[in-house]
Formats: sequence, C-alpha cells, structure tokens
Amino acid sequence: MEETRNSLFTSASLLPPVSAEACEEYRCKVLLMICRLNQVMEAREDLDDLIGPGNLELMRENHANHVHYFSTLLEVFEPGNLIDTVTWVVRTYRSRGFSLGYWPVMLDAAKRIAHEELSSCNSIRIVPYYEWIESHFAELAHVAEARDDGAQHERG
Amino acid sequence: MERSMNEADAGAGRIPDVRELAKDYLAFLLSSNRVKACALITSAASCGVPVKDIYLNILAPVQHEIGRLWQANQVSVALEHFCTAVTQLVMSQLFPLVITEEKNGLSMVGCCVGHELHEVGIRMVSDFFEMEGFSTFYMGANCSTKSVAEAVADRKADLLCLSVTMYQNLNQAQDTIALMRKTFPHLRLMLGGFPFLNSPDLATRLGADGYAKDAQAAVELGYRLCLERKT
Repeated sequence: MEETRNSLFTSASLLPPVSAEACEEYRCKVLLMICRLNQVMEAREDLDDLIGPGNLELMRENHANHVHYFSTLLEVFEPGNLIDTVTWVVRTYRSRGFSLGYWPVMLDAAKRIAHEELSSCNSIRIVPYYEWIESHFAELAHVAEARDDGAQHERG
Repeated sequence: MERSMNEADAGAGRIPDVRELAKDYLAFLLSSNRVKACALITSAASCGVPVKDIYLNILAPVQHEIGRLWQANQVSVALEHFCTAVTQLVMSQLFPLVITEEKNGLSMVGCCVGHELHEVGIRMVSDFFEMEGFSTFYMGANCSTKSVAEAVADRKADLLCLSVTMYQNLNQAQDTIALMRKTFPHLRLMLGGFPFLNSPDLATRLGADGYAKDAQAAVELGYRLCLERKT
C-alpha cells in the first residue's frame, strides 16, 4: 500500500503550479461553485444510488468542504495532503453510505462547472487537478479502503 | 457498583497505569458517563499521574480514537461532541495543577485561526507552555487575524502558536502569519495540526518558524526558537 501511495505522490508532484490569478478567481467564485455543484448533483435521478438514502445534507456538506478545500489546495499545494485528504474523505463518506460511484460523477460535474464558470485562461490551469484525481481515483479509493488512519481526525 | 482496576489502584494509593486509564476513560465516554470519566482522571492526578502523562497518553489518544470511531460512523456527532466537551471539562479540572508560579519571562499566545473549530489540541499545547513557565494566553477556536494581532500586541508575545486541523483553513493561517511577520518582526511563529503531520516542511512554506507534532515537541521547539531570537 505504501508503494501505491508513493507512486501517487510522485505523480501528483508533477501537477503544474496554479497562477495567483487563477487561485483568486476560484476563491472569489467558491459560493457559486458550491451552489452549481449542488444543483447539478441534486438533479440526478440516480442520486440515492450514489449517496445512499437520507444523505442529501451530508452531500451538500461534502460539496461545500470540497470547494473550500480545493480553493486552498490550489494556493498551498502539497501532494501528500491531497492524497491523505481524498482518502480520508472517501473513508468518511463511504462509512455513511456513499457509493464509490459518487466521486467520479461529482468530480466530473465539478470539473465541468470550473470550465463553465472560470475564465478559460484560469480554468485550464485548475482542471488538471480534477483530471488527476479522476484518473487516479481507483488507486486513491484502494488506499482509502485499505488504510485505517481515521484516528488522525482529532475533533475538539 | 463495580470498580475499574484503576479506581481500585487509586483507592489503594498506587499510581495507575496510563494505558489502562485510557481504556477506562474511553469506556466511560462511550457510555456517556461524564461523572465517572471526570472522577477517573482527577483521582489519577491525585494519585500522582503527571498532568503531562494524562494529556499525552490518555486525553490525546482517546480523542484520536473518538475521531476514528466518528469517521467509521460508529459514534454519532452528538456523542463525539459530548466526549470532546468532557475532555475539556477534565482539562479545566486539572488546570490548578498546570499553573506554575515560577515564570521564565516568555509570553506565548495560542489559538485556532480563521474558521478552525478544533481547539483541544492547541489548548493542550498552551497548557504545556504554562507548565514550562511561559505566561500563556489561550484564545481558543475561530480567531480572526485582527484579534490575534491585538492579543500578540497586548501580551507582548514572544511566541505565537497557531493550530489548523482542516486543510481549507491553511490559507487563513498563511495570511495571519504574513501579517504577524510584517507587524511583529520579533515574534516567533509555530504551526501544528493534521495538515502538517505528513508534510513537515509545509509550516515553513507557510511562513512559520516551525511545526510540532504534539504538545511536548511544541514546548521544546518554542523554547528553542525564543532562545535563538534572544541570543
């Protein structure tokens, strides 16, 4: 498993830095991105299959966290943190009934919204981050399901 | 009523084992027994278990375990918040043992930046600095940059410790550090929390002087940073 994480780390380290202008535009449009992501996902007829019954509020919370997280990720990029955070999120929401099929759908929607809402010169810098998670999601999910480091979530 | 092994130890005047205490403390929390959880820890302290041991080997690992159980959906948010509240209550009860009369002349401010709500860690860190003779000012969760700057100025702080648990609060930490650097050139800055555990150089990238993985490491690094500044 450590080998998979190391390989993910090496690959994520190659993601190109995002310009300050692109980060700023994403940060300014955080609320819009959350709202649109909720709209797109809530319109799906298969939503219950993706997130499990009764999990609508949890999904909205995840979308808000996702967009805020991404805004910070673009500004302060750490490959290890990206891997740890995605795997932590997958474990947390899987234990509450989300299917693994939810993330490819959500990430694709978030990527398309970034394309539509951001200026093209900025969206082309941000979209590779979504594409990286999408293309490595199977490995990330594998790491998430194999590891048991939830103890890192210290709430208080 | 049955007594746990550690309650029996306490009754017999023996110093209880912290690993057993941690198990009992967790069990009391998970059964929503605030009274027994508090009594277990205060009686351990009165039997001679050092406060630092209680923090590092009972309260911190139990909080981590509660977090793990929450993540696995084995405890509810309500129970998780209850457990955290009890741990904070226990820390308040131990505070008379934390206070030191002998001060080292250094002043420390500790808080969570921006929207960060996870405050138990930085509270423990602040108490460790207090035990080492620092004059401490613990501000808790959700502190604005302006209020942090005011506290640093009012307290003539030598050291500022910022805590971040949620990754999305890192840019607020970075903004706070940038302002502190500009306003208080003498100030030493430390970061701690989940995002730094596997990325030890992240703290310096954000502009801090260093990162500590736990309360004991924070005190050692903080003291060294303050001494380096003065020499």
